[in-house]
Amino acid sequence: MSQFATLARTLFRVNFSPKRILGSSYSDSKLKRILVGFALLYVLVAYMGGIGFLFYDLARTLASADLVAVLLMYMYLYAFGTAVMLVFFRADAALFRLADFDILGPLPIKPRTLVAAKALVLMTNVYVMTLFVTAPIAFSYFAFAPTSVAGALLFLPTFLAVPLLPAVLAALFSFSVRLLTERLPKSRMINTVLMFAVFIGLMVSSFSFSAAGENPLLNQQGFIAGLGEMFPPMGWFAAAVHEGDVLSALFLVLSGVAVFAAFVLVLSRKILKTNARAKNERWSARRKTVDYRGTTAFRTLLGKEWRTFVGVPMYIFNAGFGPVILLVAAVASLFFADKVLALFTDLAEGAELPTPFLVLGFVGFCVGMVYTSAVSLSIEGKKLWIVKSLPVAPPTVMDAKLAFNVLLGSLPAAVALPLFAIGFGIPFLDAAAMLCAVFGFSLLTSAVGSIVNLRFPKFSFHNEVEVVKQSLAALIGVFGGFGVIAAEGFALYGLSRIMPWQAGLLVLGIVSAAAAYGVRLRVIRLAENLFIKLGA
Amino acid sequence: MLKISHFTKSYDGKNKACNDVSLDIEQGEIYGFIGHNGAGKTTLLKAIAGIHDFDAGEILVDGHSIRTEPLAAKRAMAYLPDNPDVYETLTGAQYLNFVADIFGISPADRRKKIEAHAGMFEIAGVLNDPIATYSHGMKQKLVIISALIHDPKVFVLDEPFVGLDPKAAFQLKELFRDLCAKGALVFFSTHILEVAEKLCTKIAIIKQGRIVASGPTAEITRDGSLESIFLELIER
Repeated sequence: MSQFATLARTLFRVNFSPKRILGSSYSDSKLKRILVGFALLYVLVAYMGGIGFLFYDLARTLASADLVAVLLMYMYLYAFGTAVMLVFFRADAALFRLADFDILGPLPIKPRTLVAAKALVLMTNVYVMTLFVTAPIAFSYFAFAPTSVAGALLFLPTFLAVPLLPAVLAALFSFSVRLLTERLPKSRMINTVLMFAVFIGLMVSSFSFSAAGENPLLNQQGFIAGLGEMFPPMGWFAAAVHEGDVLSALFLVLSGVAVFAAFVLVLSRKILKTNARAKNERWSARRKTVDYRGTTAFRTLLGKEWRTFVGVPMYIFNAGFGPVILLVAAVASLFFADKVLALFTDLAEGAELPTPFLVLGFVGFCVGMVYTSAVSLSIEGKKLWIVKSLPVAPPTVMDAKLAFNVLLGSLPAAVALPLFAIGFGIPFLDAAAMLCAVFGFSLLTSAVGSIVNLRFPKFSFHNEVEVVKQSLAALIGVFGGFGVIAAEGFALYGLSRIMPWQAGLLVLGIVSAAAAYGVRLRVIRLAENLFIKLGA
Repeated sequence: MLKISHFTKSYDGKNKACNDVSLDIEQGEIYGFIGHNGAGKTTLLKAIAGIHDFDAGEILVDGHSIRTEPLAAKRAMAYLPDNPDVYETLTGAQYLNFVADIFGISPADRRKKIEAHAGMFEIAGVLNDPIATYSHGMKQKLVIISALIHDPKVFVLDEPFVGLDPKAAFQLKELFRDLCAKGALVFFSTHILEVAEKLCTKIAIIKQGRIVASGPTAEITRDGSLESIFLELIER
């Protein structure tokens, strides 16, 4: 036990220090601390204001029908889903392909102790994320549920037990994929494709419950309540918290702990063997002739960005998700225009907007999810010495990162918009005006991302996941993009009152591009001053 | 060709990692840089390469200040870090092409150099494999090849022999001699005193950020071995 405690304490220090979480230099200045605080507050308010309001409204509706306990089933299902997604995407790096296996592997630590400590770190991430996701539901439930001391006391232990079962299921699934694909030369690509398939499947199924014009959460109620009757742990959670049923709480906690413990005890040796095999991975390319073709410094930097992007599954999955769903939706619109339009309406929370505006909102949302410029400098990590020691100017490096982000967002949009135009019968000139606005938006968010990464770099990491998903720059990059969408939406509303909306889009595109140019000039100045000070 | 004048660097603003370091290295010299762990060797080498900023002093590479003309200075130089962290998502060939593109090397020239050096270091057969599959030594060899791609006048290397097999270490030493015979200079740090004693024309010993001895190897060692002189100097 003392060995486990020492290991867990060390892993916590390594993984959860402020420097590791927020980056290398967030506390250097008062301004940065204020910006960090503001960013976190913005994320909190944006999330709680959006999802929180929907759940509060749902709780009020359910309470009026004396069904507020169903909200606990929502909470269980959202916690379940969050745990599945998080563990599925992180288990490979967190358990099966440990970056520090060279250090920990040779130590005289029992396999189950090592796996348990690593699993604890993973589960801590799961708990933090689950808490964030389900906090609005919990708040809405307790705001409308009848007061029960026993239920309130049982809430914490049962809440902690909820993610255990889904975490084990997701880890087993990830482990199976790993075992099946580890001998294939394109295993990382197969993993990435599987991730997209699973996530898009979940997304489509969650939206299939919704309908336009009302609270989209309300339509999930029947399904969730039914699921609660069929799946005992859901019912146990609701009974424990709503009725203060100790027996249900015991069932939930014991079943979760038992499954989790069994996973660690039974599979720990196998997991460590998989780690050892991962360290010995060798495969040879079939092509033996070397390609010596040359290109310009800028294009070679751009090529490096692309290879890094496609070489890291979590990078391509997170920063490339927007373009993928954009293209999937665009192709789908050719065949299922009504269903795709209904999906866009759901995403707009039922707002009845003209089709071009719904399309524009969706395209903007997808392009806003592209945030490579906010993390690509950080991803250089210990390899930053390469570009720093080579004769390439820092602005060129930053321009390549910015251009890559623009291409990653704009090119799929340029393909998708004509397809949407065909699918929804939008005039091509209107689609061209939309593309102009999207291109300006992409330029602006890319430039903002570059500033964010220069200001909040994170070079200290074991795995790229920490940069792509957990860094402050990634957080600001994604939510900053959504902020720009909101601002441009208001601007378009204003412009469309004084000119045709197509002309408004052109104006918006030009203004965004001009603003992006201004931000880029700032990026260049910052890069020239900061680059040599960046410590990797 | 490599002139370091009154170089001073502090990481925390209080303790100086390097304090008033001055060295003048001419073409044709193989200059060894020796010191205990944390003495300031890597700090100086990274500053020469333009990776670290510094508080005071000046570094001129082939007459170009690394501060005011960094691109010109870097074009004349090649740097090899103590740990060969390179882009693991690239193949060896892609990495070498990346470096060659940055230096603007023609396809014919890069082909000639890469084929020659990859053959010499016996990694020609794995150049199309991802760097992620390379061993430490193979990565070290790859970075050495990338450093040779543009015929630099100044080689700055941090512990270049670590991770190399005996044959590759021998070849690297021969390469140093060959490059210096052609007019380049080699400035490298090492903990292997026997190598420094036999290979280097000049040596500098750094202790707690200050140069405590520098000059021709024969003058530094006098009648004793470099090991005994080094131990005497750092324990003084």
